[in-house]
Amino acid sequence: MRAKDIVFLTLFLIVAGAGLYLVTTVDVTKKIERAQMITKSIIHGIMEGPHEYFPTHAEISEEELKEINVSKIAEEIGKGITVKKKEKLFEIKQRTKEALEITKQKLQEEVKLKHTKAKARVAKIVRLEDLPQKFKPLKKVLHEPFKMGACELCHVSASSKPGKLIEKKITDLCYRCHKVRYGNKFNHKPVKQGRCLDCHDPHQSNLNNLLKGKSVNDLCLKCHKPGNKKKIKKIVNMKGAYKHKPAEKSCVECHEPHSAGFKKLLKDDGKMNLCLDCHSKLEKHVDMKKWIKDVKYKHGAITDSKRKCLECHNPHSTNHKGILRKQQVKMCLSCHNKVVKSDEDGYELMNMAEHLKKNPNWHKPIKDVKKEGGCAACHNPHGSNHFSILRRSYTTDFYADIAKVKKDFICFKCHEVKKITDKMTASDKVTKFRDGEVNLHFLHVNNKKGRACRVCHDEHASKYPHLLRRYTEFGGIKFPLRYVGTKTGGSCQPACHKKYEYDRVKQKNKFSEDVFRK
Amino acid sequence: MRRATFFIVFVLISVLFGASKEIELIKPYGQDIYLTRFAAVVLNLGESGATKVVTKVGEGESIERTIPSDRDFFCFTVELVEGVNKIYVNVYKGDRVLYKAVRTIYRGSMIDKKLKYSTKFFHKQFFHQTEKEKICSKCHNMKMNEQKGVAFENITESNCFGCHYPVTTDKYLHAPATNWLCATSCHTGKSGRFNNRYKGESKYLYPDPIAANCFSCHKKFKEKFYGEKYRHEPVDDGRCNRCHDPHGSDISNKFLRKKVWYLCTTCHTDKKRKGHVVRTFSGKAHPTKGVKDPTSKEGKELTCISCHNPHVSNNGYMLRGYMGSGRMLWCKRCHKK
Repeated sequence: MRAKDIVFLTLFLIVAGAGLYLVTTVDVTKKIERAQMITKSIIHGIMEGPHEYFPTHAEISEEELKEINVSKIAEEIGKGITVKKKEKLFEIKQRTKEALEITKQKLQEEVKLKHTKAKARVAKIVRLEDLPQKFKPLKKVLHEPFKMGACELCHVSASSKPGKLIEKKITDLCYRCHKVRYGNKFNHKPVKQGRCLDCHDPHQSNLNNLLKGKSVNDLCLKCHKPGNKKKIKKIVNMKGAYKHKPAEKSCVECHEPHSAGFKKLLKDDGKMNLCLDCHSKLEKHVDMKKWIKDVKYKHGAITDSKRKCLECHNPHSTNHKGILRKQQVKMCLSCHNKVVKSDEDGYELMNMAEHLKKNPNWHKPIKDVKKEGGCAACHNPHGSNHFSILRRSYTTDFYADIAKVKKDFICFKCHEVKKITDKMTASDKVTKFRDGEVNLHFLHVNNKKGRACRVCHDEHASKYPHLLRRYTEFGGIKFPLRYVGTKTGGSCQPACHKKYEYDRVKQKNKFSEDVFRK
Repeated sequence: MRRATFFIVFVLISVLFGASKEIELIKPYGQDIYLTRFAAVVLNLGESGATKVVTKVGEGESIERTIPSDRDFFCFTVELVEGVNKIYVNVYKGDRVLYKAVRTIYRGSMIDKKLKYSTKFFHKQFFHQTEKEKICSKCHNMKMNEQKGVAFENITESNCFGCHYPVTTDKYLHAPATNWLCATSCHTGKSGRFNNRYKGESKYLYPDPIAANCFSCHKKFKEKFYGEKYRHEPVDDGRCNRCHDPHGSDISNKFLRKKVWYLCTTCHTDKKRKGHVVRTFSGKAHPTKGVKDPTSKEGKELTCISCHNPHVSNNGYMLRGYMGSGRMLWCKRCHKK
């Protein structure tokens, strides 16, 4: 009992001590004062109305400030401002916006213009009427000194007949005003050699930037067309049936005319980045940048090649769809003429060129490229989420369940699903693989142990009719199909079963219900 | 001495001359064990000019075969019965008997324990050895002409086909057997744990246990069989060929050697004699065959494999599923309230 009392006593003492300490530390009088002030102000507000400001001496702590809804108060204040004030505010806003947008380049230009104007004030001005006859009628765009009639800026005499130039070198003359020197990594040859006047007219032109020729492309192609007089090797043929739209519009869309940090005077890395700059923003086109990045199975031609996009596409113009360098199938076969290893699983892709050469019966898309779409009918050359960069799903297995997966197969992009789902059919259009009216495709393909299309058919090419394979592989052994065709049917003797004959006109076999279930 | 040498020379000459004229039964050797349904009979006719052969196996019917003229050798196959077979071979020229021979051979069974082991009188003899093959090489190409992984376009091209064609006359046939990929898929000449004693005795020996060869195609079972708790003895041994005939079968598409119920009861004989599962007071037992399987959607007949998994199982008594602890719960599968 005693021990318990002692424990209670000590606990009581601790609690009492703590309470006393708290009371002594907190200044009660201050608290009371503050409460009084606040209540006073509230009462005053109610009595006098909210319009008058009533100063309080109460100190507001930071925590309390945070609780006050600042934006709401600001809104309330804004209602009081007049329309004029609003306009002024808007003006200020815009100005600041403009001021922020002025870049370094713009500033440079402004400085440049001032410079020329200042000089022109010194020069003797020739009136427009006094200009020589060859400059008349005047064209759309005039060189600033020419417009002002300040011929003396460049020429020695300002008479009606233009005299010598001030400087011997044309570059020295141009660069006097156009101070932005062109000294990047890669330079256009005329720029390097100081032949400004090859492209620019010093007086006037119908084109922007005082360019010679009818249009930008016309000017560029003067030198860069095939069979040009100057024997320039870098040629562009723009006469193909399919043209790259920016190239058709203007060369300057992709190329810098003077100098650039990238090869071929391009604005960005021309293998891929430059292409993707546009092809990630175009309407009606796939966001290629995202597609290439996100796709599960990638095409080696994009990820693993030297020339990336340019491996297959011509950036200017060709006679083949998609501005491909060659006809589509030939384009694909230019790489797939040897055994190629795929990146994902190291699986060896077959030598397709040899396969097509050996087997004369080709799948229709390969045979009729223009109409059916060639290899790209089934494969997506830019990569895909399905294996072998197929546009839809397919299988590598021997068996595939028709109800679950097979309907999504790439095959049924063109072939009708009826072909395998109709149990009985009498029309040759649906399928010719029938015994009487029994659809033998249904028999083979149906159910859990249904065979995939590829078991009997070669998707690319075959020596045999109906794209039938010579061998089907099962358990690592190649078994011949031993197909023999007749006029109204045929026979087959693969590893799966003994020799069975079928005939569309005269049914050869009897089918029990169990057969369809297997 | 002189008399002895004269005698030997005389005997030798008589043997040599006699051999060229006399008929000889080369195969079967006699006293050997077969595991297949067929046995080859090979006769060396010499210059005897025999016209027909009459064979009889045991007490079966005697079969007459006419010999085409100008034949030195004559080969054919006879069908064997399980157990001891006496093969009577009579060679005739016209109506005159030229040659008579009797050979007793033993056909063992892969499943029946009674027939599995023969008496010591019989022993295994192999034919496919380079020495023994020489006799046949006059007419037959004795070389293996299979290409690994590629089946024959025309199966008669196979060198095995010529003599062994009766193997593939069944209704349901196994693909490697019908495509005559004998030596590349099973009869590889290697031996296994159970037949190491025959190692190197035949070119086309198959390894016993054979499972490893089976799994090279039937990959699905490889994981399944060794992932579960209980295994049927032949599965555990890896001797798939005890129940399944790797060549083919007339009975089932799973190439079983007998119909399921009969196959199971060849070993599990007590299930045949006594009633299985439960017996009523009248002595009538639970049926194991002859009624419809209530769980089967396709209306299959009830057999052992309706309840038991013949290969592997995670449950006691090799049952197909687990219905909770307690034997009686399994009954609920069919006997619903």
